[in-house]
Parts: sequence; C-alpha cells; structure tokens
Amino acid sequence: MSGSHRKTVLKVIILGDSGVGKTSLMQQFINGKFSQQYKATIGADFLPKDMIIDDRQATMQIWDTAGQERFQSLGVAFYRGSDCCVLVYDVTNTKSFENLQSWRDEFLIQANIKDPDNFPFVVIGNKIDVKENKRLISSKKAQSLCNSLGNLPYFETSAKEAVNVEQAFDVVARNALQQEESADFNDDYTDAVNIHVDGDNYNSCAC
Amino acid sequence: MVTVYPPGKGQLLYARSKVYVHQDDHKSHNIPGWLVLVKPTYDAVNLDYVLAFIPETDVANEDKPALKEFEMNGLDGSDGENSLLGPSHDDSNENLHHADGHAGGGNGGNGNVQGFKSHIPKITRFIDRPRMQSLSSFQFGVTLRSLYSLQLRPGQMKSYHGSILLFVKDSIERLPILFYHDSESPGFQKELKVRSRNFAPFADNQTKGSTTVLYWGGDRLISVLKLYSVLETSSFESNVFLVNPTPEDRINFTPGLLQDRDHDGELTMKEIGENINEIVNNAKWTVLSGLASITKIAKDTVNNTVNNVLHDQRVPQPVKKLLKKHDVQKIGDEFDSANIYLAKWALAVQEEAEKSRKVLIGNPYYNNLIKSELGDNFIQLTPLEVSKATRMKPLTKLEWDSYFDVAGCLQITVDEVKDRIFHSGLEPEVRPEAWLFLLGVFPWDTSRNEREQLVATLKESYLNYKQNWVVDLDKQDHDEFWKDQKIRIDKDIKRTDRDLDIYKGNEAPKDTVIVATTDPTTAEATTEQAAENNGEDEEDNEDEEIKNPNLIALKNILFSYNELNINLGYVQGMNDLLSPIYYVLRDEPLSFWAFAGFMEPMERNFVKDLSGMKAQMLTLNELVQFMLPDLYVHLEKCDSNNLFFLFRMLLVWFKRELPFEDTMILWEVMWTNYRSSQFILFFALAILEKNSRIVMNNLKQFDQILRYMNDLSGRLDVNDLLIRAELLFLKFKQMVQLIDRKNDGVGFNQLSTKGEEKQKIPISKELRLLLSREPVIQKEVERTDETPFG
Repeated sequence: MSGSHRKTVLKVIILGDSGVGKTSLMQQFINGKFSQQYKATIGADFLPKDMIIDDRQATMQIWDTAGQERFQSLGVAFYRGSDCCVLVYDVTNTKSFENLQSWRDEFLIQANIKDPDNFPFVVIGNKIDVKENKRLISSKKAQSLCNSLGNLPYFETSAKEAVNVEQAFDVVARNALQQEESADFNDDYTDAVNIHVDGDNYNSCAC
Repeated sequence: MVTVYPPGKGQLLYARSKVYVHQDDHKSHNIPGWLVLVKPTYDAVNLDYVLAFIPETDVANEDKPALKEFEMNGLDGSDGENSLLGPSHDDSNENLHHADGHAGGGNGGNGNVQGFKSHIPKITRFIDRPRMQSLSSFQFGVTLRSLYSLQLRPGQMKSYHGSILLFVKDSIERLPILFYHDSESPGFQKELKVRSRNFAPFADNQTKGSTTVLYWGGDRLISVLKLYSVLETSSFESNVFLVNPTPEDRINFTPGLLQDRDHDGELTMKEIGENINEIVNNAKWTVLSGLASITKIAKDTVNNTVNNVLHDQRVPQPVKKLLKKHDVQKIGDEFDSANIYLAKWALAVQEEAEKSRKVLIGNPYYNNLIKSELGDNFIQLTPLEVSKATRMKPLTKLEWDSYFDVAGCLQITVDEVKDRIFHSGLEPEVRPEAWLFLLGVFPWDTSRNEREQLVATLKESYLNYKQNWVVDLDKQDHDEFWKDQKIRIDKDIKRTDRDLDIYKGNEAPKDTVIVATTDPTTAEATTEQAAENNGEDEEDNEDEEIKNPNLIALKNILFSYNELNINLGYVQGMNDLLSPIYYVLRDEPLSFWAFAGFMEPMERNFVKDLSGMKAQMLTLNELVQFMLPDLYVHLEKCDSNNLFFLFRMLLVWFKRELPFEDTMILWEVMWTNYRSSQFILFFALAILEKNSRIVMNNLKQFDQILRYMNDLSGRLDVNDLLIRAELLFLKFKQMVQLIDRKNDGVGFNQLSTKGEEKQKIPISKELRLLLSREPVIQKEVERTDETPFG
C-alpha cells in the first residue's frame, strides 16, 4: 500500500421493526456468531469491519439501531453520512414487512439524503430458518415490493444459521462503495473527512 | 512539674490572629478570627489536640488577653529556654512520630535542630476549649486524630492572601478555607521582624512547588504542627501535607508511583500525561484501533436539516416559523411531523446548549469568582480528594435490623438510613426489605404489623389490576393497542437478562412453584404449562411461548402496569428496569408495586415525545459546561455536545453498562435521593470527568466518542464513580451557593473591575433543580384512539 493511500469508510445503517433481527444480522456478519441473548437495542451502536472489495480496502461501519418508533428521533444524530441503508423485516411478521416503506422514508428524511432516487438500499427478509408454515411473507410478495420501491436488491437470510448473510452484505458493501465514490465526486468539500492511516499520525489530523 | 488546667480550659500551643473565613468576595462579609492549636486537657495526647478557628466575636472576653499575649510572646523565643509544657508530656503508646529528628513528640525536649524550639510554647496560656462546630457561627475545630491532610496555598503576588484547607478523615465535606491576612496580624509582623534580625529560618518547611517562596503565616502553622504530628508531603502534590499518614494513605497519595493502573484498567492522569503513545499502542479496548479508519463525520448535522427545511419552497410558511422557535408545541400534523419534530428535538438540544454556553464558558466574572473564592482548579478532582474519600462497607442485615425496634418501627431518622445507604449500598440479603422502603411501597413510619397488613392489601389490589386484562377476552382479541403491546412485551421479555440464573432457559417448574406468590393465575398457568412442556427440548425458540415462571411474572407485571398507568404503554427499557426488582423480590405482586414506584420518577424517560430525556440531556449539558468546561469545548468541536452518546445510559440508569450486581448498587444509591433526585446525572458527569483526558487527547469525532463510551461497558468502577459523583456534587453545590450569594448581595457590583464585562450569572432553573431531593415527575400525555402505537 502506498504511503498516502486513503482507507475508505463505508457507513451502513440497519433499520427495521423491533425484534426482526438487526443486531443478530450485524453480529453474524461482523463476528460470525449468533446468540439468543441479545437484548433490545437502545440508542445506537456500531461495529467496524475491514473488507477488501475488488482490491479496494474499506472499513464498513455497521450501525445498529433501536426498533421502537419513539427512539427513531435519535436517528438524526446517527444517520448522517450514511452510504447505504439496510431495511430488515421478519418473514414471520407481516407488520414488519408493511413498515418497510415507512422506514425507508423516515431514513431519507432524517439522513438528509440529497438524491433519494439513487441512494442505495438493500432489503433483507430475515428468519428464513423458521418452519415453512410460520412464514407469512412469500419471496414473491417481497420481491414485488422491492421492485416497486425502485428495484431494491432483496435477500432472504437467517442470521441464526448464517444463511445468505455474507452475500447480502457483500452487495451492501459494493453499493455503499459506489455511493461513497459518487458522493466524494459530487461534493468534495462537505463531510468527507478522510483520515490517513499511513503511520501513527492520526492524532495530528484535523477534526 | 504539674500544670493545673483551669476548668473548661485548654492550653494554647499556637495562636494566630486575623485569619479569615471568606464568605464571599465582599470584604465586609469576611469573618476574622483566631486560628489556634489547643491541648484540651492536661493528659491529652497529641492526637487529641484541637486545631480550631474561633471567630473574633466568639472569643470570651477573659480569653482575649491570653490570645493576644500568646500570639506576641508565646512562641517566638529563639532559644526556647522555657519549654514548660513542651510536647514531651505524652510519650504514651499513642506516640506517633519518629518520622525524623524534627517531629519528636517524645524527645521533643532535646530539640537540637535550629528553629525547633522556637515553636514550643514558652509561656502558658489557657483559653476556653474550642467547640468543634457551631450552628450559630463559623467556629469549627478538628482534632489531629481526625485531620487527614492540610493543603497550603501561599499567597501569590501581593494581592492574594495565603490560605489553608483542612481535610477531615471520613468526610468529604469541606471545612471553610482559612485565609491568612498576614499584614493585619501583629504576631506575624513580629515574626517577620525577628526573622529579618536573626536569619535562622522559622520555616524549615517552606512549601515547595509554589512560585512564591515568601515567608507567610501558613509556614509557622506547619512548623508547629510538626511538633505534634507527622506531616508528610508528597512529590505528587507538594503543597499538601498528610497528617499522621498510614501506609495506605501514602500509597493512595502517590498514585503515579505506587499504584497499579487503577482498578478498572484506566490509566492515571500522570501516566497519560507522560506517555500517550504507549497508551494508544497498548489500550486493550478495540476502540483505538478502530478509530484510525473512521471517517465521514457529519458536521452541522442538525443545522443542515433545519436549513434544508427552512429553504425548501414546499414547506409551508407556518411550519418554517415554528421551526425557528425552538420550544414549539408538538406538531400534530402527520404529514410533516416526522422530520420537523426530529429536527426540532435535536436542534433544541443544540440551541439550548449554545445559549447557556455564552453564560457559563469563558465568562471572566464567573471564572474569577470561582478562582478567587474556591481556589485554582477547584473544579478538578484531585487524586487526593478521590483517594481519601472511601465508601463504606455495604449495609448488613444485622445493622439494618438494628435500625428497627421490636415493633418494627424505624428508630433512627429516615435521613440517617438514606445517608448510610447512599454511602455504602446494601448487602444482598437486606435488599428485599430495604428496596420496598426505597421504592415507596413501605412508608418509613410503619410498624411491622402495619406493613404485613399493607402487603396483604397490595397483593389483593395487584390481582385486581391483573384480572382486568387476564379475564378481558374481548380486549385480548379486539383491542389493537393491547395486541400491539402484547407483541412488544413478549418480544422483549424473551430477551431480558437471559444470562441470569432465574431467567435462563424456558422450562416450567416440575411441581414446585418457584415464584412465591399468592397469585392464582400464575400458579395455574405454570402447572398447565409444566404438563405441556414435558420432554420438550431445551432450546430456546424465539416464537416459543414463555414458560419460565420468572419470565411469566415479568410479563404479567408489565401488562398489569398498563392497567395502572393507562397512558404510557410499554416502552423498550422498562423491562430492564423491572428485571432487577423482580430478581431481588421474587414476588410478583410486590415487584409490581416496587416497579410502579420506580416508574414514578422514570416515566419521564419514556414519554412519547422524549421530552423528559431531552430535558435531562440538556441539564447534563449545562452541568458539563459548568463543571468540565474544557471537556465541553472539546465535545463541541466533535459535534458531540448534544451528549447523545449518553442516551442509553441515562434511559435505563446504566443497566446495560454495569454488571448486574453493580447496577443494583447504583440504583439503591440513587433511590435514596440523598443528595439529589437527579444524582444519576452526576454519575454520568463522573464518567465524563474520569475519562475526559482520554477523550480530549484521542477522540475527535462523534462516532469515535460514541464508540468509546459504548465500550466503557464492563469497565466502569461503580464505587469509584460514586465517590467522584458525590465530590462533583458537593463542588457543584458550593459553586451554586457562591454564585447565589454573589447575585444577591452588593458584592456583585464591586467585584467587576476595569473593563471586565459585568455579567450576572444566573444559575438556570435546571441546574438549580439538581440540588433538590424532590423527584422530578413527568407523566405521559393522555392516550387517545388516535395516538399511534410505539
């Protein structure tokens, strides 16, 4: 890596109703583990993961958020500068599916997305490990919603059994990278504070 | 040789006139008095000697000549020939000082060190034994036994008076600072003359580390005290003298040298100052390594949103107007409410912060006031302060029981109980009973008998609330709100502290009902489920019905609480508040009432518009400005002064950050409301204070700070933080009182000099409220059919 190579940070926000498995997806993707003992998320937290996407080095910053509606008002502080938004629902929970669109709208408002039509979203239907008779939302139905929302990429996953999680986040990463690059190109001077990581001098970076 | 002590009198060993307590900066309010060291009785040992401040107005007429004479002629002799009652009296077993040749209590008579004898009384004078405290005046005294340390602050330049601070053992309340007005004291003037005539220095102990080495009144006091006690200074804080320190004191006193990296792995200030690179390299928490790669920080997050809305042509004019006013009423309009409301919420925090900032930070009047009255760096907690304050051992069952008489009536005051609990917490076996008092289930003034009756009534009453929903099948089937609540509660119950023994697994008990409850519904339900559950695998399936009886109890309580408080509804985090209560009480009805008691002050955390959280974050914001201005300025640079990174901590009182046991300690301490009903904010302040160096030196962006704070989980030392929180509270209180006096009195106008802008500092309503022990109650607004869920 050349001395002044920039490391890209991709900020990804996971949204969706309470209990659809946001924290589990994040944990499965970052740490490759699943636990029944995650607590309901309060506030927000994020985990970083280093990745190589087509020879580009990047750090994904996955932001996990609270699902309960009233806590969304904190989003304004947490969503800014996102490069991709993952909308999650639970295939056994109709309401969580119906709420997908409002999660998207809410996000666009709060994150202050300048070009909503081209902002990358990825939709995930989680908990496909359940018995077939418990499943309430069919792939077909989900796929058609995603199409109507602007051909959003759609994945069905099981965070519990690590099905499709890697694949979904691979697309998330690529789309985020693309968004990051176009954002860089469009507004160099706004909030792109890239930190040089060559050497130990990050302390000296301006903030 | 026997000296007869007149009745009620003690012998003077030191006396200095014109020592002042400064009430505020107005000269006419200063209280002049005598600082004396008195041997109270003939057979008193050194440790009994009393160092006392006696206001001039409190000095008995007959004592006045004695004091004056002693000040002028009591000590000054350079030959020390008449060592009538030198310290040689008490070479008893309490003889403490063989630290060096100087401080020989027992061998004091043969002082061959130059200047030594000049501190031994050469005349014998008596005054009334000083009082240790007084309600009507500023008189106070402290024995050498209870004196922990002295801090000397020589006057700087010519304008300030030197002063001394006395720290008493086992108390973190401060005694008033004593100011030496040397120029007014005849005794000091004489000392100076003798000193210049005969250059043998009286002061063999010039305070080190100060810029001034001028001789001043405090030097003599130290010389005298060294005769009767071991005074040890430290390389860490050279102006501070430990009095008769134990080995432990010494260790605590030199944290940089002897102490390990302290308990929770945090580095001491000194180390941080010395070697920041090492810290960066060695820090075990992941945050620092992650930091280098974080970018894209939102700048001006809030302002952007608002500006965009303001400049958006489509936004109607009235909405724009509303936006410009930050304390707008809630906007009911579904259409635009989300973004406007959100922006407003965050903006309000920011705006309020900026408003108060102008008053508190960089205000020269305020800065000078604190500096001149309370001392340089008053706000900063020193290692000394922290190390000398210790928390007591948790209250035992034995001690708790001793607070009650045979009838089970409290026989000490409520305040005394709370004082004790606040400073120690409880042993686990005390909790079941004590928590019911702390949470308002049991009134403090009841007898055991009355409480037993009360319990019966409460259980019955709980069953009524529970029946409301248990039997209302119509509600269960058709009430959308209820159904929504059921889903929410079920979901969260399944993820409530499942690592704890009682909440682990999802098996119904075989036949013993673990829950000690008289509640037929639960008992019935559990037996039924027990039958069902036979042989099923233990795996905890998500959509499995809840069978663990303790989880069922949690669920029942949360449902029933909705019947008691019909407006709030279940909000995430309430399960966290309930879990420890049930864990301790193991009784469904009583846990319900205790939880309801806890929710009284906590409801403000959960109201729909989050206004209660906002209010607390704003108050904390102001508190940080007031107490940690440097950190505040840094947070501001990092777009973090809205303190959102503390949201979770404040919402559920650090339940997610602390181990379960520590959470219980923290909560019972908070429940006393002993210092403040919002003491949790001081606890948060203590965390910021303790971590402020690291934050200021290493963290530059909002997400870095959020990450760092989230990563403190599991590394918080609750007892240390409680000590710091109390110290910060006491300092805060002192500062508020100082400013209040200032604002009331004429002193205010006189202080501001030259071009300095006179700006009266208002202590905001919010900050002042922090001094109140009365809980802040905020209720959810009435719920209607239109109120959206969630």
